[in-house]
Amino acid sequence: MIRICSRVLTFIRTIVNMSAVLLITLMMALIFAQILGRYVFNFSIAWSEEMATFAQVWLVMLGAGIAMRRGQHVGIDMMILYFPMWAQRLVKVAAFALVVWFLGVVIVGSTGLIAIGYIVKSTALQVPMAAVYYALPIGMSYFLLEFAIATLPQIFGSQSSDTEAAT
Amino acid sequence: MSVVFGGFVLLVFSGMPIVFALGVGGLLAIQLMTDVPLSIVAQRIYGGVNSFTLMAIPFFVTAGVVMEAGGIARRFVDLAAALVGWITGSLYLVGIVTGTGLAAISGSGSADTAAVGSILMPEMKRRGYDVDLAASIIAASGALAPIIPPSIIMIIVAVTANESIGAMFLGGVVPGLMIAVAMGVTCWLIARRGGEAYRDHTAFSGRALWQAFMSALPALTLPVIIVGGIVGGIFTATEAACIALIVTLLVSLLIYREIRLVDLPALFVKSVGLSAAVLMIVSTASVFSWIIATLGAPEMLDTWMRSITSSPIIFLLIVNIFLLIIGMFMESISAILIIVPVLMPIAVSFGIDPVQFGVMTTLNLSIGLITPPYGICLFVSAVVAERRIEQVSRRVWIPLIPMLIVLGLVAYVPEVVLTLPRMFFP
Amino acid sequence: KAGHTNVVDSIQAQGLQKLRDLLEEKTDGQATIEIFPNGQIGDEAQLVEGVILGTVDMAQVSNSTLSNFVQDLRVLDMPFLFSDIPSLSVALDGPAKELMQQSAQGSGFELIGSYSSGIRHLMTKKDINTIDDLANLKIRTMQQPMHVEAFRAYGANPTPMAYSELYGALQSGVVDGAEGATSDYNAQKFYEVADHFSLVGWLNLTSQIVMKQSKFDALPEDVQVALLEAGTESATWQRQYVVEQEEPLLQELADKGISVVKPDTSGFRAASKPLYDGFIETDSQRVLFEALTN
Ligand code: NA
Ligand code: NA
Repeated sequence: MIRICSRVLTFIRTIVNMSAVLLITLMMALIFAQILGRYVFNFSIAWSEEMATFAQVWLVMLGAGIAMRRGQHVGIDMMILYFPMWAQRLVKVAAFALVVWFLGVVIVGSTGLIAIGYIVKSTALQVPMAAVYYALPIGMSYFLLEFAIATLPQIFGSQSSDTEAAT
Repeated sequence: MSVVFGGFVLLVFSGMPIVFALGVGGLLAIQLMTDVPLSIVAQRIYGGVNSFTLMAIPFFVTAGVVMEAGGIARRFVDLAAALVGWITGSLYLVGIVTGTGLAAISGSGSADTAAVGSILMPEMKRRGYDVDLAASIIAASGALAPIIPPSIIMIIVAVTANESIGAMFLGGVVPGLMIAVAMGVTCWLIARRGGEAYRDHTAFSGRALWQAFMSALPALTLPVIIVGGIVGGIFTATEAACIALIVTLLVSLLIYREIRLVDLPALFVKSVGLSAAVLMIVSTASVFSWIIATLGAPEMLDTWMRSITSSPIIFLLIVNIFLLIIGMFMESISAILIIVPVLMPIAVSFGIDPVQFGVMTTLNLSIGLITPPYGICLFVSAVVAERRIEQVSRRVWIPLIPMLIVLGLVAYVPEVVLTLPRMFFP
Repeated sequence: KAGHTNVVDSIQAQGLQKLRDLLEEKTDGQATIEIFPNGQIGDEAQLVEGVILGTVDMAQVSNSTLSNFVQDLRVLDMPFLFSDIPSLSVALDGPAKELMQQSAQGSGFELIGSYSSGIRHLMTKKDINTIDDLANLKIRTMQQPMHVEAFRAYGANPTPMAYSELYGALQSGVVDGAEGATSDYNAQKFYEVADHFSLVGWLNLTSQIVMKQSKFDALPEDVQVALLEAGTESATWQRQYVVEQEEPLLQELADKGISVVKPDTSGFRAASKPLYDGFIETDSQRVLFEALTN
């Protein structure tokens, strides 16, 4: 059971990592093409900025989980170290519940956007906006997964747990 | 209103990442204080990152990650050593000059601090420098990165306030260089009276300088491309950042050859994480600032401020003290996103130039990078120096003095900031 | 709660403020509108989505943004449809008004009023007297396929770029000119870097105020009536206001030594005609087009 879970997790992380590398490369290529187009070929691509911006939305939504896994989200955790152990655990449980609520609201709320996104087409590319809005539930679900993996051991497990830093 | 801010501070101290403290704080306020459907949260999260201008950030962040791995920082240290290595207290000055140089090609402070610190700190320790002072100086040199263009903080200030990124960038050049010079003089004065440790230095050599210059030359083209490109109207800020990344990749892969193509995916994953950490804060902060705007905070603060004073001088004093305190405790990007939309209109109504106010805000929050208890550059520097934050904090007032003096000039002598931008952006 | 993305004293915002004042007057202060300017509560697309999702009560957005949701309205954004703002005004208050309301309601919106967003001309480094003067000039356009296509049809080399970069691009010669409204040309000081202004009036843009239809229907009967009346009256007032704004502005520009010319637009009109067929995709668009132009 645990083996299957960890395999699925490794698979998800690999996909997310590969997507991240592809997206940043795509953004770079699109903007470079736009500059080349303007100065070298004297021809403008109307959709390069829009496509790069959409890539950025996907990049950030997926990257939020990557940053969680790598411990790149900053926070101030030294204040609660002055609390007694039981209080620390209580605060952590409350904080965990609030974050789950927040990400849940984003994921549920995005369904409304996606419904609109099937009707509305983007300005330049003329693709349904849903193609971009799907980044919200998918990215934030992965964010939630990595957040749970990073936080739950601190609440239930031993006191010295560390998030996986290597990729 | 104070309930919303108080709730946010409590959430931050609960230890949850700031990205969540902003989102949860905003969501709680929307749930408890309005009857707006919660789908507004998803809408704002999307709107926060749906910005072409902000795309400069992932590009600059990626360029910074590649620079760190690709040997550019080391060549800047070598060049700085050849330039100022013959002066008393040389390593402090090498640190400051390198910090200034790296500031001109990178957008954020912590990576610069790590690069300079890890190269210089062992040598500083060997020569018997005051380690805590050295760590403070290196942290402050790293904190120059947001003031001297390019700068992620300035991009966010400019985007938030709807001002020109190019004008803001140019406005930071003079104050940034003034801080570098003032810090250099401070260090030289200390080193001159500081005893034997600081007299150990290498003789000046024209040939060594030339060699170091040639070796750093490919990397030195970057500030020219970035600032020249934006100011000349050749590139947008986003395009300039993209070109900077491509040049950095070419220099690191083909000229310095310290990284290979196969190293790139790992570096990109790292930079995507770092970029997302920044831009996700922009997103969740836009939830928070939406509820603040909806509850009418800008008008309330405006009325309150006017009831206290009608003098721009007093207004600037209050704002600076406020921002310095914020900078002590808060992460700079979330601070901007919450504060700038509220304060900028008030500043403009007091007759203050938005570019000057933007640079002043940036400088305040850069100072925040080295002020305890929460300062990223100070953290990084202390880790590299293998000292505790409290130990390094005891010396941090020394680089703070020149920074605060320049802050005073920026606040009360607008020409310090505005002369350059006015030449290029009428 | 009403949001828009324009600055407080813009021509569009004046229309919304007039709407609020008239509504308060008609309902003796029983109903009012709280205005959030400057994109404070969202950009244009977000505002329309907000109206649908119920997070914003009322939005003032450009017709082009709204027409992403209400396809029929796309017709209004076609080039050289109306030669000036008075003729736009006549068309909007004619039989087309009812058709536009029907289209909006078909997508779940209630159209409160149609305002002028100004008429767009050409700023360049040389005089544009006929369409031939435009040949091979690099003209900055918005990032809209229709705009790019139109300027390609006029023989220019359309260059879409962000508005914030336009001044620098004109200065450095990255582009030879741009299209824009007189008020922007004056306010953004574009005349410093492109000192020829040609009154082609290629686009005569509108801005729309909408609510969610179900939210509108839930309002008390008398408020509904007052709101629609206020919408019509404020729109009429605002379009006249735009016309009155324009004249002294052009005089001011001429006084500054800017070459302001009134070109022969027949070439442009002829080149625009074939574009119409490409834009009109549905029968209901065709019906609205006929109603607007006859
Ligand atoms: Na910098
Ligand atoms: Na600080």
